Amino acid sequence: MSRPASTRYLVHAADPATLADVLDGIRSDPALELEDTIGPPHAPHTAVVRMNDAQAKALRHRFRAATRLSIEPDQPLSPFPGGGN
Amino acid sequence: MTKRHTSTGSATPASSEADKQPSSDRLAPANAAGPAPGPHRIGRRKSQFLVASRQQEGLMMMGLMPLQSNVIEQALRNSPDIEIVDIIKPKSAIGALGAGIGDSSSVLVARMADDKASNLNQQGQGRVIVEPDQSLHLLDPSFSAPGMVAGFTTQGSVPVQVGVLVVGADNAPVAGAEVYLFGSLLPANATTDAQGRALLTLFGETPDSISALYVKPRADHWSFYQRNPDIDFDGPNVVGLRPLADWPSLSLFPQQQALGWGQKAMRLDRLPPQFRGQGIRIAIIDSGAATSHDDLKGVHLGIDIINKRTSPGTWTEDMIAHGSHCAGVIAGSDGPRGIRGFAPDAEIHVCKLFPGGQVSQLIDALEYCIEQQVDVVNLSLGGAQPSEALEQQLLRARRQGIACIVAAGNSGNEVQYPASSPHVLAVAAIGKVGEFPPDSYHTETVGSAIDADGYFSAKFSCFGPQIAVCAPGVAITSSVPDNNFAVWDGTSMAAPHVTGLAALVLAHHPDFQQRYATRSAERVERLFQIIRFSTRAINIGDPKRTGFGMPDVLIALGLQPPAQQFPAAMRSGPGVSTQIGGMTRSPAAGIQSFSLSPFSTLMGGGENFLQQAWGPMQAQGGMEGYGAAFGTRIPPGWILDPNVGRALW
Repeated sequence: MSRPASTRYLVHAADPATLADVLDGIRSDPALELEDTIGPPHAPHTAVVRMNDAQAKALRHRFRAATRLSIEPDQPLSPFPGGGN
Repeated sequence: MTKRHTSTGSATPASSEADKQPSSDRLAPANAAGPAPGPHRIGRRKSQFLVASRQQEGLMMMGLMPLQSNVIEQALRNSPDIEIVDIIKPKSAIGALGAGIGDSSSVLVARMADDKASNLNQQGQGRVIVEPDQSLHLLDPSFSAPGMVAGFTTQGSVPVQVGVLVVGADNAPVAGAEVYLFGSLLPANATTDAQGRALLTLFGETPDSISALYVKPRADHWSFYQRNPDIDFDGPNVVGLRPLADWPSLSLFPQQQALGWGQKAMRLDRLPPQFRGQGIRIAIIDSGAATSHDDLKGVHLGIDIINKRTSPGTWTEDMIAHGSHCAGVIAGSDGPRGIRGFAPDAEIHVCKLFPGGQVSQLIDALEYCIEQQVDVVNLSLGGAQPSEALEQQLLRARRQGIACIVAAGNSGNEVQYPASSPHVLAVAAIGKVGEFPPDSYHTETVGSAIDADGYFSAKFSCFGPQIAVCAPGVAITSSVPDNNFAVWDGTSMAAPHVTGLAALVLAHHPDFQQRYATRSAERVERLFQIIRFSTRAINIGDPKRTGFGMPDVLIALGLQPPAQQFPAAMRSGPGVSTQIGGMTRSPAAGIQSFSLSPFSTLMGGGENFLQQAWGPMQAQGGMEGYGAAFGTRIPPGWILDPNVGRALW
């Protein structure tokens, strides 16, 4: 049976300590793939994680007590077209 | 038969030379067919009209009997420039008698010029129906399908190939131009080859169902747009593009330096030459910047965010030219040729995000800006939905003294995200009549209202209470790779005008040498405030489309008093210099208030705004654990202070 497709998620915490806890949790789960962290080197505020929807839901549930933590799909952006089209 | 299109717009039979060309060779360059003719332009074709006798009881009571169809037919036949295509008559005597008026029930199908039809309608004095024979379109039931993708198939239709030859000055072929034909089904498009030839395949179309032809050159020419074009399915259709220098305001361009009309509209041409944005750092988060361009050779700093681990230096490669165009408006060099930008001496940082950029990478780019202590960020981009993580980063950037100037969006609907964020300055696009050729695509952007000075809100520009200001975004000439210029439309082009102006203000306005010299959220808000109150009104009666109006360089730098009159009581406030005045107001809501808050334009409408901005995110359930900072509804009369949290205004 194929596994659900994984997508990129943004995990953001206003408090770097909160994100550090979440990162520990992510690193301890081999099913989750940490792609990048963003922010000051010793206090990142955002993690880019590849996981599927169920895993994202589970992660959110696991850290439900954390304040000001958001987990959301990474969305595409586009330059607003020039040239009149 | 092959047709040639004259520069006056009428279609004439082709020369015998052209007729001798074999059909397979009908896309040969125009100058290969004999003496070089002038540029040929596709004109508007004669339209097809339905002409019939009006059968109206009211007219009969006045003694005006319906005109007999044969009388109308004879009148049309007597006019040499009207061509009767068909006469639709009742199939039986029953049909004719059913109308009860004998021979007045036929419908004539005739081709004629629009003005001829108008005259006929007038001369008929209400007794003749003259109406366009409209193309019928399939109703696409899948209304939610993405644009350009229809829910019907073209299988089974007989494809028709239409050749278009695109030439420029001296009939030289124009390569790389995108050619579009719009009809009743899917639009067809192709790109011209080295000989200027494009072959478009149409399905289920006829010459009469083609509603528009659009030719978009890659660079150095004006676009061409013709509604109801006189397209010849059998022969070559020649389109002559105007070189940019054909337009009076760009004569001698690019060999001789010019200022764009937008820069002039904001009075950059009146600014003393020592004001050049020196000492200010500007980041352009976009598709890169082609430093091969003469106007962008002064750009030395940047990062390819997408490939930051493998090739961070590829920010100089701009595959889609968008970032290069923005960079030229902001900081095009002040050299002997090309277009001068607003702040040619500012330190430019290019963050390459496209193609392929996502919210995570924008957050990363903003992190770069924070690290590099950038002062102003240009964001001519957007996404489908708000992002909590991005919103936090925008807030963080503002607290670090970074002013984000964001394009409102080109969908012609509500302001897109992140322009809808309360932490940024949202910019809408305006155009000005007379700043582009009437046969260019730019004409299609003209909105319904035009003010006394010729300014209009671009049709495509997003609108809403979040719009702070508007700026030139129609027919904007700027740099594109490798070393060329292109004229583009978009809020993407409007935002860089304001970004460049913001850099000038930070560099040269006395407030930022003194009270607001330190990087902070207050510094950003003061900058936004000065920009808002440096505006001249665009009087089209809809502030949701224009915000406070178009910023003025001289007023913004404190070199001239404000153009707009504000109530005296509003002209002073805490920490505000007298050069601009300390008032903020909500242009859309018409409510004025004292404030230094970035939320100041929301006063009176703040709750509605936040609901609009965050509604989609709340609906998708992405707000868990975030209630304290996001989704907070601000009651009228209150603002969020970036440092304190909440403050009475």
